[in-house]
Amino acid sequence: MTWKPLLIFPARWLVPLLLVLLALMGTVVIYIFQVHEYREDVGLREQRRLLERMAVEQTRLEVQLGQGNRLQARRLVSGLGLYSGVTHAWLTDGEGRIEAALSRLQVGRPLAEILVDESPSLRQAIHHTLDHQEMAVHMHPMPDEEALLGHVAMINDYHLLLRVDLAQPLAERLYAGRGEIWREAGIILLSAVLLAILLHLLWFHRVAQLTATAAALGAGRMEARAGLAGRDELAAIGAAVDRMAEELQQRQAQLRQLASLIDHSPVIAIAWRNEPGWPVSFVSDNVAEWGYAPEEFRSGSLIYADLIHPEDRPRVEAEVAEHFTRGPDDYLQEYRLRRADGQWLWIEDRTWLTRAADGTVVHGEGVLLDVSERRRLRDVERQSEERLQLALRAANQGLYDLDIATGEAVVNTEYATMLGYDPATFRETHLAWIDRLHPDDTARVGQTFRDYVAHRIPDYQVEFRQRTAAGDWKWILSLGKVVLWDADGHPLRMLGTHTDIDERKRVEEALVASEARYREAERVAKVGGWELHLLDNQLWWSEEIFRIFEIDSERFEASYEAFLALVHPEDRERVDEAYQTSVANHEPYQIVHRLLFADGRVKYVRERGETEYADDGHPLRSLGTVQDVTEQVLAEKQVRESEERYRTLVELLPYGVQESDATGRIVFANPALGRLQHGAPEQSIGAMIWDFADDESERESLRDYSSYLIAEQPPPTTYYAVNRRGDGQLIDVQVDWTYLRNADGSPRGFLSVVSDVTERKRLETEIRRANAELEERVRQRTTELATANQELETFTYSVSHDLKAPLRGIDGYSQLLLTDYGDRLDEEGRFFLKNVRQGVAQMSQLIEDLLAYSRMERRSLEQIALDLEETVARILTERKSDLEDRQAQVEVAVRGLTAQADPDGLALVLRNLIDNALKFTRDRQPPVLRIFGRSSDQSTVILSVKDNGIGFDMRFHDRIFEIFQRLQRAEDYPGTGVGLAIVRKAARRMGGRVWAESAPGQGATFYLELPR
Amino acid sequence: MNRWLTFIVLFWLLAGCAEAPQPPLRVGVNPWVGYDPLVLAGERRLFDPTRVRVVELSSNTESQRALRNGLLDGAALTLDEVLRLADAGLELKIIAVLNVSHGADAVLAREGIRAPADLEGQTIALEQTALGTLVLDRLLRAGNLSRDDVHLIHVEAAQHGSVLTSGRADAVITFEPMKSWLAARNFQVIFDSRAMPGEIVDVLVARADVLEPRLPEWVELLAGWERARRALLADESAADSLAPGVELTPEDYRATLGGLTLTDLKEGVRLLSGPSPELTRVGSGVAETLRQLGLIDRAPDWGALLDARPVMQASATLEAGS
Repeated sequence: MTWKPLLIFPARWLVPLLLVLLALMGTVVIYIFQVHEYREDVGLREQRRLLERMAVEQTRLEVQLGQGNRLQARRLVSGLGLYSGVTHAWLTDGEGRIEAALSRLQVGRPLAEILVDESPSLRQAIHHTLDHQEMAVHMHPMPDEEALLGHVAMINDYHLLLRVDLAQPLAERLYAGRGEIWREAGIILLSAVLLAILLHLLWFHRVAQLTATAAALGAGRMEARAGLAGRDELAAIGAAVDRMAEELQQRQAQLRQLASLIDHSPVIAIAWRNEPGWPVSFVSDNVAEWGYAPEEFRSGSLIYADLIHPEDRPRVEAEVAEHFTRGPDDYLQEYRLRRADGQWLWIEDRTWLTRAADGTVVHGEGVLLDVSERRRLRDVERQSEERLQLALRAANQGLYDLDIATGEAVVNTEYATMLGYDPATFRETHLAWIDRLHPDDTARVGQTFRDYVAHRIPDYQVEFRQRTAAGDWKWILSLGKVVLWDADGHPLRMLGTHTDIDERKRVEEALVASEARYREAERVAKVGGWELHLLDNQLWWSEEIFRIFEIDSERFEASYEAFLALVHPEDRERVDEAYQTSVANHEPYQIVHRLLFADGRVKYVRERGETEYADDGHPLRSLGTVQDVTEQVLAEKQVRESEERYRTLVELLPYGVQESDATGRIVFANPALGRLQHGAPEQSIGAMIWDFADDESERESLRDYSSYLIAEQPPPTTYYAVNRRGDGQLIDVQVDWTYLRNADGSPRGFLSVVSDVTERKRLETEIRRANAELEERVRQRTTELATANQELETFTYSVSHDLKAPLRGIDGYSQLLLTDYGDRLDEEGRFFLKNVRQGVAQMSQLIEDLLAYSRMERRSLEQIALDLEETVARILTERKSDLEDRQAQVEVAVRGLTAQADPDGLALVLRNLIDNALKFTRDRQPPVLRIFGRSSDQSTVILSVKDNGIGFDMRFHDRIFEIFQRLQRAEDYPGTGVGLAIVRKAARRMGGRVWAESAPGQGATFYLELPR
Repeated sequence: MNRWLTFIVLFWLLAGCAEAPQPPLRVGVNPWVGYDPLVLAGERRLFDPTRVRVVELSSNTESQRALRNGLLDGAALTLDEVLRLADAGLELKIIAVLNVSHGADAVLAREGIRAPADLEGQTIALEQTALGTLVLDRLLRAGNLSRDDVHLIHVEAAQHGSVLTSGRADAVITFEPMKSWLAARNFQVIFDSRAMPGEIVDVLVARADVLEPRLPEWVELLAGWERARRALLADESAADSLAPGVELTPEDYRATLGGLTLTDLKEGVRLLSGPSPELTRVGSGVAETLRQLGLIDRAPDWGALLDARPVMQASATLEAGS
């Protein structure tokens, strides 16, 4: 099926029709959803009712069966027919016989026999449910027959089975909801109709107007206009159509103008068909200027090709043939054409071809221009050009003539050869010249040019580098002059010369480079040179001296006084004396002294100098160097001080320090070592390092150890030994040592620190013994505690379990009292009863929680990989109605995470955390729950449940996870105080942990960490 | 395309459903042989179970409670119970007479007591019900005695046997099957319901508010009753199948049945219709006794209490069918 058949309807019918169809569909969809919702509603309500009913009946039946009142029990079961929807009720005994039923005739017969007549799904459901032996009510929805099956096992292996039909309540619910559905359907239909009317007024009416306008335009009535009001798309289309009509009208007028324009211009327009003889289909009227009438061409009496000069015709025809086969389709030709008076004209013929789809030329159009005068001028120009070229070559310099507007330049042979190009093929343009320009020169050259044309400098004279054909750089001196300006003062033409100045530049650069190298050497060595002409007392300093003396060479001259002023006052006399002595004795001198700067800094310098003398021994000039040796001097000083510091330290150290050579002989020892080895400050130098070991075998092994270390060089590790002191006392020592190495890295001995650890050893032994005792005591205590704990758990479980039975009785009978006698009690009586039932519910919840808590301790847990997303989704579905009632916003982001956990345990934890979050967001509208998951590292995953509830003070963090601990009053937030304890217990048993973060009023976040 | 059609048809069907669907009519019975034709009719599907349902309840007290609470639309009850319910303000209609006691209720006494007059100064055991009180009243009247001439002890029906055999009482006001059980142990029947004709009557009542709107169902129920009654009387196996449900042996069951007259529809029409229905005559006597005993406050409005339409229509249906 395609949508095209729909197009046979005009839109003004189709749109309302579709709208109504859509409305009908919408109504049907709403109906289907509504029915679905009702079905769920009814299912849940009936389940709850059945659950309550069965719990009550269980209690009543157990009482009767316990007392042996089978008849009474039978009546109780048959009385279940009172309750609407109950279609089947069976009480079976241990052998599967029907003890009681709605139908009296079924009593005493085996259930299996009765079930033969029942539906297969009921048989199957009963078959499944009878496996449950727990005395709790089980519900089995039977969706294929709109029914519910309830089952509960009772004492003495009795089972009660109830089937409730949901069709009736569902039908009632549908009936009740019928009005609502009709109302919605009505609103939708009415909206559709209103929308259709609105559309008609807004759209289809105006579309008709637009259609009429378009039709008029099509028929050639260009004055037709739609004139639609409004600012919508339709109005925009209308306006566009009007604009188009306007434009078409104008175009028509323009076309007329154009034709008249051509007729008055020197350009003749022509069009021809590609047929034998190229018949002319159009020629503009101004062809009359050449003495021809347009009709002569159009009628075919005059063949255009015949007018072409016989000498040009073969060329023209060959070119045309070439364009026909290869293109391009737009081309220029120049040839001679005969006028009617027999004179020859040079014609520029610009032609463009039109081709059919298969590529063959259909027709051509062209414009013809008389260029006879232009050609004559061009010939004159070419001759003068040739003369200029000749002059340029003679000048032996590169010359250029630049057309500034086009960027084209005419250059001579020298210009090209200077740059290494072949003059025959070299073509210069402004862009090519810029491209060859050295990047460092571009800005400067550009600036010079701009300054020149702005008359800021009188001449254009600039030096720059050009890349030669070989790719290296050549220095060029360019001189130029603008010879032609336009009316606005913009340059049009520039003439100039290029001179090769490469050689000159190279010499200049070498000079600058050597100077720079010298300065660099001075700077690196921090050595400056000076020269003193003794005859005229002229002093010269190199730049480095200025730098060392920190004097600005731009502002101060070199002077001996300036130098002396800088010399440290304490050294001044010594420096002067050294110089004077050197001059007097004809000897070079060398001195290290200090400079003192105004800010108190001190520099050390080394001065070297000698003096040249005249033949008569008269001193002529002194030469010398100044070197900054501050770092050197300071470093030497530091080494000296550091050495001093360490020597003192070693002398004072309470630990023995010894240095031994590769043979094990002690070559250095501090006083403490003497005390350790002799019991008195005696010298150990010269002894062997193993001399102090307690006995011979130990000495032997130490000797071996020492030679092994020298041979193998394993990394140093601390060792312990027992030494006998010179006074005979035995001491424990700890020896920390390292290698001493030669420059080539080979070990030349050891450096060792020897400490007396006798006392420490004794204490350690004592602590170890105490620890062992303590651990034994803890182990014992733990075992006792575990046993006690186990007993307590068992006790809790059995107590909780036994408490449940009587509580169920209270619950059942109080429920009966309320439903059956409620109308006979007054307000207060009902209030008391309600309190009783509330208490029972609370206690029942408490016992359930306690059971869950102790079950969590007792049951064995599985450890399997669980998909967290799936688990969270399942729990949220369980709590769906609560969440929807509260209109809670739930965000979940746990995609792709798995955890190793017990399925029931994890479900229990999540259920409790979500319930907890819901409980404490009671006053928030809406409650917001965020359930996030992330993997914290390789081994664990963290799941967090965040709410926007009342939060808690972190001081109570540990308390909330304790059993029976509550932070809120039970009246404000009901609960048993067991939920979070279960969470912690379950988390621990699954090998994880749980914690929370919160602040009062800020919501709370509970974290659950589980192994991955 | 078919689906669309289904949706649209569904839609119009929904629109057509002007009436709310109704659950079946619920009629309660307590374990009493005289009501069993109703049970049999239910078991044998003599009426449509989706329209009418008979619910067996543990006692007549239970039936009354459920009726009062609206859990039942109708119930089988003794006439005195109906009068007391009506007196308490419940709007009920008697639409059929189910049975009349014809010896099933009786007074049995130890050896040496042969007539009601012999009871002077003796101890009589009875259930503290309107029925027990009514029989006592007629018994004393027959022996020309007053209340002060006898000692009364109230005991549950289940203990009627032991109270007499143990000698705690000299006579007991009881009914089947206890009557047969005691008679077989040499206790004498000194008075029974044959001496009070038509006074111990079981009737079928409907709540007044559901009678009119669901008249066809009531008619169907009564037609079912009549068919089951005939089956029970003609077919011994029917009685045998019902007996275990009330914990009686088939013999006891038949004995009990013998002490009753199961009312047929024609008789029902006679008892309920006419300008001065027969039931009114008998019932007035019962009502008077109840009033004297202080169990009801005022004489019943018989016109409002009786409705013969269902029984007449059922009778007509059956005749047309047979």
